[in-house]
Amino acid sequence: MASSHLSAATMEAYLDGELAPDTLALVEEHLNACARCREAVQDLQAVSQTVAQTAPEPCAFCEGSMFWQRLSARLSSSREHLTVYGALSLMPPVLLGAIGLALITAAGLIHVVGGLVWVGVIPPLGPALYRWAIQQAANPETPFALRWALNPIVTAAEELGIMTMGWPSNLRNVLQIGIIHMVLGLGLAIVAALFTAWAWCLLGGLASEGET
Amino acid sequence: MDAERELDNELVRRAAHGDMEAFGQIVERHRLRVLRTAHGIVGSSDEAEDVAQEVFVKAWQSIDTFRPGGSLGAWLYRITVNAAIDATRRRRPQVALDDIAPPPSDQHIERSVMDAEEAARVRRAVQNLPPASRAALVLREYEQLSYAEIADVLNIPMGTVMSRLHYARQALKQTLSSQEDGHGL
Repeated sequence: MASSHLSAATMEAYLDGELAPDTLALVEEHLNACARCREAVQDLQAVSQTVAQTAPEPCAFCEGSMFWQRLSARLSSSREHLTVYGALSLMPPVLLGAIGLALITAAGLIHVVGGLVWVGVIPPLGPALYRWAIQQAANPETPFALRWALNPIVTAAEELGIMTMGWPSNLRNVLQIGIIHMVLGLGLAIVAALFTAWAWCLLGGLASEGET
Repeated sequence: MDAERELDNELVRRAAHGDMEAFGQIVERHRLRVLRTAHGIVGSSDEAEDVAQEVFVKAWQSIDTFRPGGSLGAWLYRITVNAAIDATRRRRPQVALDDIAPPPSDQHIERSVMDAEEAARVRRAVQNLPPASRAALVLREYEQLSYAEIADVLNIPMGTVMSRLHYARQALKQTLSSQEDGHGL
């Protein structure tokens, strides 16, 4: 090593204490013998020391209490972002969220029931409802308002053929409609889960704000 | 060292559950390092304090993403370097002027060996380095981090750390020696 000079990388690694013990011994041996490398190392060391001496003094930041006072105010205001973040922060207020959740759950249930009817798990509801509506519309004891409401429904059901609707016979049609119902039901279940997560996060955030 | 890391991890666990007192302890334990590093990169005390505030707000908001068992110091250094470099990019090409004549401190008498004007010249020279080299130099010279630690903080290979440090030192050496010639020192 004494025959050639040290590389800049080796000199810097030497000054930074990054050399392995065996390499370090060789470098020290070389520096003892080579005035040129010794001078180059001293130059580098002077630059390092000069920079290190300009490091800000600890007392430049002695006002720790002021720092924390300022910071804690910002942390409190960012508390909501910690608990209700991302897309959940765009969700509506609690009351609207609860109404939305109820509607979505009802729509999801209707789809699930519809799907189960189409695949034959539950008997068709249309004929049973039609029979009930005919009975109620023809019964003089039924309140007038109900009869008034049922008459057009019964007429519409007859026109649409709901009262004749039995078990579906076309298997392909059954599967298609059943799958559509199930997919819609699953999508609504996901939306309902998001609503629930949002409500959970929001209520959790409010509870922890109450504690602090 | 392990005890320090364990304490940090415990404080992180508590802070992740919303314990602000635990987070306050984290701030107190790492505040000076964050401030010093930010100061080295942005070059002014006021701006360094703003960056440090930003760093701890980000840390609070994303503390649950901190990998348990990792080094909290390295994680905070990483956030600090990124936030400080962003801050310098936002306000370029302004030069920090508030540290030209820092008051001498009784606690660090050896530092007053270098006079204020010379210190300001060195800081200006550091500020003129490219941000990536400046960050590596600050972590090495101010924070005394090893090459491996700097590589971890900056998420770069060790060889890149060495080349950035080399570039920074050579550039500083050149700048400072030309300034000395210009000042007739």
